Amino acid sequence: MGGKVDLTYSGAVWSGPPAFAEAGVKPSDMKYASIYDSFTITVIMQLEDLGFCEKGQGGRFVSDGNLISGEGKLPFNTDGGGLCNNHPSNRGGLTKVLEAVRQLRGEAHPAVQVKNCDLALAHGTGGSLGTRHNAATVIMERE
Amino acid sequence: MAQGQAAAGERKITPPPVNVETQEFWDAASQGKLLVKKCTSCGEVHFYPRNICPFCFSEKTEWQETSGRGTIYTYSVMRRAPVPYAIAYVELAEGPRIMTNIVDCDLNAIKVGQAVRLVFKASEGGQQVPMFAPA
Repeated sequence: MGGKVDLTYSGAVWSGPPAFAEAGVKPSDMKYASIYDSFTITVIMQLEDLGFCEKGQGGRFVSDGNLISGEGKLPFNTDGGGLCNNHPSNRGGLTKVLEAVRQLRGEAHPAVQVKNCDLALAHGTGGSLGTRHNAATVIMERE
Repeated sequence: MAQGQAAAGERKITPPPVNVETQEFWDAASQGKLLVKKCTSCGEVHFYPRNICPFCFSEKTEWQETSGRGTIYTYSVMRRAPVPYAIAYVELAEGPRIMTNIVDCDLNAIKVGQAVRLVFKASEGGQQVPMFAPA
């Protein structure tokens, strides 16, 4: 970085677009998303970088209720995520895949199970958010 | 007392680790100067200071004294610390954004984009550390 620090985006700007292109789908097609949530700002930045809302609108996207299963556009971390459920050391990314698979199989908790959930995204970030930019995005579809 | 205002007691500042690459930087800090490094090969100014330019990997880097002027790029107030303080990135007039602290001010009045000036604070053991206060 050498002092050219920019804390306004995450590695999702690189991992997201190729994942959507490879899968042949777009963010608005997603029925469910598991997104790594080490901190609240982590989620907001990644929602924007993955294209679920305009850059700078992540806070509003969340406060409008879009992440609530059964109500919003993007049911999210229905296991409670890292902030409200668990964060197993440096394996926080795997829990994101687990809940996405539960949703696709229809095995999530009935209170938060997304109806006809056939397309889901799991995304993780690692290292120091904003200055290291490690990220991985997977898109999963139920056949 | 509102959270974020100066609490009773002096804040202790951890002394920085000094190595052969940064010795000159810290020696200059003790004389009230903030140095950055400039690459004479590609022209980029970088921080923290390194022998090898992080942009073009040339070893042709030289020290450059800064004006001590800058603006706050972003900050966060550590309210749960024994003595609350503000960690920040300051964008120097010379270009690089450097991690530092904002001091000598009401922590609740700090603003992104605010103009700041260089000050020095002594860490434990006496090594002076560059920080910034409202201009």
